Amino acid sequence: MGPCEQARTLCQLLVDDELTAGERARLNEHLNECIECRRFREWLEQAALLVAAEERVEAPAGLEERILSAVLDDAAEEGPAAPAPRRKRLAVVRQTLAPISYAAEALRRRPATPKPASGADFARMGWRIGVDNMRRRGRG
Amino acid sequence: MQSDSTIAAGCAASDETAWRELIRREMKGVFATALRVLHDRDEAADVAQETFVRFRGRAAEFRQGGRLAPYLRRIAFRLAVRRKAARARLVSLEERNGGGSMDSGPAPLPDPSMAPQRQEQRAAILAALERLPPGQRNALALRHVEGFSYVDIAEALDVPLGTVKTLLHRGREALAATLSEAVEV
Repeated sequence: MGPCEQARTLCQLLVDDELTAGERARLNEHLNECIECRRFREWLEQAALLVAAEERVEAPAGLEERILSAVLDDAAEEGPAAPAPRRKRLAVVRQTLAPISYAAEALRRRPATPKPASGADFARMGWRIGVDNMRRRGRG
Repeated sequence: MQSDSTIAAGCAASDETAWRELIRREMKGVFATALRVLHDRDEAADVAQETFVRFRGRAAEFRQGGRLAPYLRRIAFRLAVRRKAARARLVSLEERNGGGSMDSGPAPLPDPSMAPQRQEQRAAILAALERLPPGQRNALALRHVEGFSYVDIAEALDVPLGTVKTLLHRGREALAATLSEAVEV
């Protein structure tokens, strides 16, 4: 980007009051030497003034009341913030409970695992082995 | 002066005072934004009304610390652009049939206190303003009439920050070129 191009970009920021002090000093230095860029800055400033002067708009008379009645009348027709309809509430409850019922269903469907042997089972087994051994010894 | 969040909360609760305050503050800017796109005061008034009606449905969601001016301009700008696109076909039909464009309002009346050459310059400049794309024209007006920051303009026009600078720079350059030509003629 040449010095004039850079200066013109800075001119735009100058008009928007968005220049840093350093950029401003750099621009002024260039503008002191370059009549073309100085003219460009003047046109930009005039364009900004022109927009400010010509783009002021008056709203039509009565628009304020028209808008006010539109927003307030529609709000009155809708009534105060009503509670959610029953169907919607039920949907919310169902949505909330869904993970819980899913977990319960998964547990119910889980394949049965063999019950681990308890202490009593081992005692019964030991009793049975002891009796068998005694019988074997009696026979021998 | 009430904060924007307080006004939005009041509007969400259908508080008439809050609505009056909001409309008093923002209606003119909202109307102007729509007018710069549509170039038709009746249509711009319709868009302004629709903007506030739309806002009524969103007031409860307005974020704490947000700014109402750019927020409402964004709604208005979008509605206006959509409306303009919808009527584009109708306009081209009218133009084809030899009718005047719906876009162009009445020509500005000459100011008797102004020299004829100056009047011509003003007419040329107004025409240049009219020719600017809606984004450029609105960006310039938001900046130079309403003093919006780059960030607020970006929100109002729903464009990135870099695009705001481009819109402003191109718009101003186009006007500056017209000005220099009008003066040199």
